[in-house]
Amino acid sequence: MRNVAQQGHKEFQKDMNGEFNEYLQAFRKSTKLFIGTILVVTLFIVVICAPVMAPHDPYKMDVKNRLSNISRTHLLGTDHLGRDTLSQIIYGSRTSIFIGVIGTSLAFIIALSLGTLAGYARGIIENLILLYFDAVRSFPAIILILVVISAIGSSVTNIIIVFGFIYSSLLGRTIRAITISVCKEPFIEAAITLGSKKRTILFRHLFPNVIGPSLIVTGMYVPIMIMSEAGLSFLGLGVPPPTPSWGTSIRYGFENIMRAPWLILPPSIALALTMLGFNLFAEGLRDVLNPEKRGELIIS
Amino acid sequence: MLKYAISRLLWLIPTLLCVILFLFSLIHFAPGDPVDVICGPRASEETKALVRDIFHLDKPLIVQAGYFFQNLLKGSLGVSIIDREPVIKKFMRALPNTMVLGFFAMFWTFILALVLGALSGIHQNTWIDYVITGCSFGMISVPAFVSALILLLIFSIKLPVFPMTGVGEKGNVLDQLRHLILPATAISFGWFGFMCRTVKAMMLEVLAKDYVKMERSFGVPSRYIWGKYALRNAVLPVVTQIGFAIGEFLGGAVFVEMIFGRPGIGRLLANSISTLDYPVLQGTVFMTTIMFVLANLLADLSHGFLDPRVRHG
Repeated sequence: MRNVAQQGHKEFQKDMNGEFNEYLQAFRKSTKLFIGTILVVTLFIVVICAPVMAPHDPYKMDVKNRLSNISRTHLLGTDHLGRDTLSQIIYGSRTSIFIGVIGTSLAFIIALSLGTLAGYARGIIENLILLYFDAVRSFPAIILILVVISAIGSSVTNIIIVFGFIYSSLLGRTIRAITISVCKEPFIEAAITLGSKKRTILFRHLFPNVIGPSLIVTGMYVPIMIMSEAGLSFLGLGVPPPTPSWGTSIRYGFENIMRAPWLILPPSIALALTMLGFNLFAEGLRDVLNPEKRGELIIS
Repeated sequence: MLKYAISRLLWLIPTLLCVILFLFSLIHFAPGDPVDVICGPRASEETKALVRDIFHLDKPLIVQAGYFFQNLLKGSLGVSIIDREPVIKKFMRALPNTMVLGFFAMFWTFILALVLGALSGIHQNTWIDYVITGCSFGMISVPAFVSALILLLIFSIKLPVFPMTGVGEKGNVLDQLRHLILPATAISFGWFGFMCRTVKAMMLEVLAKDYVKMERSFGVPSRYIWGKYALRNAVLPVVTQIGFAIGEFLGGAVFVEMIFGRPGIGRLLANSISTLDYPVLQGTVFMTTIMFVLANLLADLSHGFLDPRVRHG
């Protein structure tokens, strides 16, 4: 019995050499992160290699063969204007990723600035910022987005700006909570006691410690934005055609659902897999970076 | 507790004011003169002047908001530009359809999430757990309109089990239920994922507690423990989640109602956006926002009510 215990302990020690090893262990053991990473990496490969991967030009219309079924030339059929569905899906991924990533970055920048300011400088500034956050959050997000886009018109730039401002409100609240909890740390108190200027505390002490946890929370918003863009395009208020987008592909499939019911499947599956991938990746990463969960993963 | 509730309600007033001001400023965001947007390009000068007067478009936003509240106190939300029907009538006609859908979906999800979440927690790390957890994760990731479309495809078009569109005949409850099942299932997928995971997490937390171990050592049957302690504790966060889910539902309802052709609030909103019917848009968004805010507030307060630990700080 003693031998088994010794052996186990030796193996445990061997594995635990170095902190990086710990992360690697958790990474390998986490199914979530594994599947998520595969899906996200596949998505990015598709996005980058789109011109090479797509068999046809997604804008080219071949109206004679509209709404055709799976065939050798058109692997997933054609839409109502004769455009190849597979190419539309491949190029549609570019639109989704572009809006998702850039929109999230914009939301992150806004939320980080406002959230940190609100968490650090209490008082009237905080109340004003909170008022902005709550006013935006008091609408169901999709309805607010619909209403604003219908007023200012839909284009990729407008969509990114609207997403950035609207989703920054919820993210900003979370970042404010993170800032408040970081402010309670002893080193901040030490910095104040030692007479650091407010600006120094903000930039040199707060920001680096707030950005870490914030980034992980922000990562959860990429799939939300991709879904919102698809939803907008589905309602006709999203990316203006002929730019390929999964939402518009789903919309065309829905409009022709009686004649070509299979058309809604490829973009829906693409959207679902993308969101699944990002969700799994973000959650898996959050688990691996959280010391408690990381320990659970390694032991399991 | 009461102080918290009152302070939240008071915070509601400036928020709603911002919301109203924003809604009124919307018509000015659109390119061009708002009067032209309402009247169309071929209206005469008199019509334009009349419209400007009726909608108070030349007055500052605060004054417009004032007129809106004045009308609100009289019980009117304005009149649709397109068909001159009072907005409140349209809203009240559409509201029951959406509420029925919401309650049905919520009820269905709640029961299913409790049962499956509990099963998943009790038989942790067995195939039951893996299947349920996997499914719930998958369901979170699939947006409501995608699952609605796939359900429509499978159960309405390919296998004609359920009807495609509509609400069902007025008096016939069974028919209405048939029309409800597919949209409610589509909406419940997303909620189910979250609730199931919450229930499972709570179950695991409670089952690891010391008093549960003590009860087991006394020989109390497992089922009693699951029912009396685990499930009761699990219900609490789920109830708060339901409150928040109702709020989100109002957004998702737009898609589901469009796909299944249900004449509810979502479709009312989508139609008013596409026809640029501003009074209907403003009235509907206003009412929807109030419902959303109240739902969130109730969810917050219920959390405090159901869990005494939150109340006492």
